[in-house]
Amino acid sequence: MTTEPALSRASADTSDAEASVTRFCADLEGLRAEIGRRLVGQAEIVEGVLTALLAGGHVLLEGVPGLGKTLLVKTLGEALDLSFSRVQFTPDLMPADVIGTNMIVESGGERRFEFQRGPVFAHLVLADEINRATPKTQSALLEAMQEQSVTVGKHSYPLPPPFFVLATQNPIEMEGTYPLPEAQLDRFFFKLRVDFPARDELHAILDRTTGSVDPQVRPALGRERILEMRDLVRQVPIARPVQDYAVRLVEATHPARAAGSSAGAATNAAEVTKFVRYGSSPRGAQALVLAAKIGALAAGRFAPSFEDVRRAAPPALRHRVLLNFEGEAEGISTDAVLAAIMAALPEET
Amino acid sequence: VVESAELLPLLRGIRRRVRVLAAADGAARGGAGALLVLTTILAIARARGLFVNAIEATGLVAAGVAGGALWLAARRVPLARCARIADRAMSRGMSGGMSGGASSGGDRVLSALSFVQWSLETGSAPTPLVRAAVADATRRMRALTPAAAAPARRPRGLLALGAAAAAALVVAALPGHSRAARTPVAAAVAPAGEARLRVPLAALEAEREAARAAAEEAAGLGDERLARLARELANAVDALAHEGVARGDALDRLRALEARAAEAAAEAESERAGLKAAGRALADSAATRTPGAALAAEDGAAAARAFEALAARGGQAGAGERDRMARALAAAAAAATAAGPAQPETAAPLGASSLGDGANAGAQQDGGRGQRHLARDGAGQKPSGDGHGARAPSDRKLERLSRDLDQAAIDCRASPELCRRALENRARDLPQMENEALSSEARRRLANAVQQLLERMKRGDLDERGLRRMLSERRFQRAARGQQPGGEESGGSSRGGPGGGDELTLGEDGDADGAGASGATLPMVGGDDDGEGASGAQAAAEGADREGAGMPGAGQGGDQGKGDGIGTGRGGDPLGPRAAATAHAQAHDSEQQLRNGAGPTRPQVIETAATRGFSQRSYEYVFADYQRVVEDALTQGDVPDGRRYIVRRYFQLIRPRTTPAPTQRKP
Repeated sequence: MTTEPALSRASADTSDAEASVTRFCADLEGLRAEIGRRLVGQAEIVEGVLTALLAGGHVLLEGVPGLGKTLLVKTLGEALDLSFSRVQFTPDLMPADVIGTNMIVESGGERRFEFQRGPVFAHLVLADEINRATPKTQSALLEAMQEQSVTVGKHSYPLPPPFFVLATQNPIEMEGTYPLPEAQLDRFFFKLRVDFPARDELHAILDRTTGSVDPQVRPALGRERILEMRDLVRQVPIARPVQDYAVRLVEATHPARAAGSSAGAATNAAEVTKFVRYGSSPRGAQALVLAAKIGALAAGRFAPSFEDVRRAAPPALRHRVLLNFEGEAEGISTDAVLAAIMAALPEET
Repeated sequence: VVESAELLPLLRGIRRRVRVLAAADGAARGGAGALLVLTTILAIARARGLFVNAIEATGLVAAGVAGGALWLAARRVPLARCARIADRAMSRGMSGGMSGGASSGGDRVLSALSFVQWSLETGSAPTPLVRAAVADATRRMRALTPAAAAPARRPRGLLALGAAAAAALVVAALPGHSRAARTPVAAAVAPAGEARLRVPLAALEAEREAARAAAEEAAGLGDERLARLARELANAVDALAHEGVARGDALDRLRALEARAAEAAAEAESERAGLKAAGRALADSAATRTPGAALAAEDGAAAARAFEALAARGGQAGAGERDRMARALAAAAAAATAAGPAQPETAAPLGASSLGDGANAGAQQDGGRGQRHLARDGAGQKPSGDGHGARAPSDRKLERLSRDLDQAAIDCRASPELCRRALENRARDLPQMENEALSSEARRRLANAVQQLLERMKRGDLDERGLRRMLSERRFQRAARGQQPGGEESGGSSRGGPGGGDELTLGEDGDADGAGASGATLPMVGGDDDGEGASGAQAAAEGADREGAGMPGAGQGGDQGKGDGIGTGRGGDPLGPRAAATAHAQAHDSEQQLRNGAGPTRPQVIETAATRGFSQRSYEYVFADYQRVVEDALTQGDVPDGRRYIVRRYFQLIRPRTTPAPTQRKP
């Protein structure tokens, strides 16, 4: 039996939750606006980056040079009032160049080893053209991304939260590169494709960058607030039908499961079985649900919808779905495969 | 969850609305189905001239509507479906209002319902965000009425309902007549307009031949009754062939004729049996052996002479001799009586004679079998005489014969003069009775022909539908007569083969203009040796006075010593090359006995008839033998009427045909 105090307490909790969601929306909107003061367009990229940041993940940006990737990260650092570092990955880049190394330091007449932190020790790290470094160096960064810490010698050095890596890669200059293996791709929360800006956006870019006025970005969110927002994201409930949809969506990316799954998934089995070599890992489902939750909060809702899941699916799954030779040969994009899956997958089971 | 106290009733309101809409859908679909059924019923009723009650039709449609509505309204509607409906309605109301979930309303209600159900199932306390989600959904649901969530729409199935209604109206508007309205029209028109049955003459050939044969036999035997029956059959056939007769009239006429013919046949058969029995009884006595033997041998003239001699002897005989005569006559009277009353109720068809005299005699000696000979089939089982209780005419004649013989016996015992007179009277009567008895087979054949014609008419073989069959029968009949399928008589000019041993040609007597003496090739037997067989032309050249040149199945083997006689090879077209006939030569097929005296065997005759037609003389004998056996079997055995008809019809078709009169060319 519900008592009066319990009712009032529940009502208070509900009001607090609504207030926290409202604040979440407002903060996120303020952050977007601040970034928009310098970065023109690329709303989807900004949304994806912010989603990954709030989910505690990392982003792989794919796009040709000159599209504002570095500017985005730099602006994000300024707007979030977080430390920022940039590493240009080259074939001769060594792991120590990324994570740091022990160096002999003379102090008080004696020499000792002292760990010199690398550029990875920042809140925001831009790993530019990550596919140009050797796998060894890539692994060093990816280990830091996964473990949120760096181990040198016998010592582990935790990375400062929030730790957020944006790695970029150029899709057209593949000669002399070391493509990221699938296992390391899976560690990126999102893979975002940076497209060439539209004509209006290009005009705005030119107006802003060729004039004398340089827009200033003020910090919109602090480190603590970001961590609070991350915590709120984890509290967002998800309805079982919506979560089931996310699960079925991930299942449908697997050729073996798509062929033998429910009638809805079976309709896209032809494309999946024809072009897909391996489907998404469970990390993909995690990314889907977290991104959907952030999408719901960003929309002022308290629970994600099917549409939130669908919207999160391409950036969360496109680098986790591996095409087979036939798919690669025919130039099939994973986005097309995912679109086909979502078109055929019913919301209701 | 406290907030769910309001959410669930709101969802239930939507569920009620959904049920109402589903009921409308069901009503439309059920109505459409019922209208389709009604359309079918109407169509059937129109076709059969039946009437469909409007109230029942309306009731059927109403039942369909109600049943469909109830069926769909009673189906389970999950609350989750109602929540989705509400979410869709919200998305419609605020499309573009929010950045997220613009297309689906954010699935707020569905999520809230899911949280509530999960909390109720697990009993766990909801988190603040869950409470907020439920409260948010409830708040939005308050602004959403069930009618707005599930707005009224055109029921699904309405199009089908309209189409079915249109179909029903069209069928209902079709002109139709009730059975009561149609029947009198048919009944009134039918008698006046009853089609007259007109049968091609070719289809009645068998009956015409039967009538002609009966007339000839009647003339030969002096049987006026048989002649009258034959004329009636011929008239009936002519009427059918030339004038056309109403089917009912034809059936009545033929039934009456059949009854009279059967009665006449039965009477003659009875007389025949009685006379033979009396003859055998007389033959048992030395005093009357001669007339008895003549009677038993069915020789009327000899019997008359024998009785005249007996009368002369009786006029001079002493008492002892006359007493012996009287006993013999009394025994004959008793035998004649026994032959009559012991018969079955109806007389048998007489075709029921056995194969050959010997067999016939044997059958007569067996009383039971003899009675079976006189048994009639079902067609003649009606009392044929003067009504119920009246004796059949055949019985009366036998009684009269018996009475006359008894009277003769009495007279012989009384005085020589009376004995002489009585025996002279018998000498006058008996030949006439004998002739009448001898016509029993002819009468029976005539009765069978009438019966067959009647059966054919009953079966519709002579109607329109039997035309096709008649055409094929006609073709068969042409072939049976040895004619070419084209309808022309096969001329003697058909060219024979080159004289190969595998073919035997029938030589024909052709006229001087014949294009060749060789006849149609007979595809059967010749010498096994190639080139040994002689062509019909050669045969014709060897002896122009022969009736025919070729011999079926024989070749020249027996004559020239070449070949093995009957071979086994087969030739070409059974009726010869169709294009080979010319009109310059006329000939007829005939057979020739082999010079060594051995005639063709029965199978050879049949095979020849099968290939050349049924015009050979030898075939007539073979046919007659077989027909007797078959008639015997049909009479004695328990053969169904249908089978009996088929067998008789078959024998009608394969009956011997009258050979066209040849133009004999004598050397």
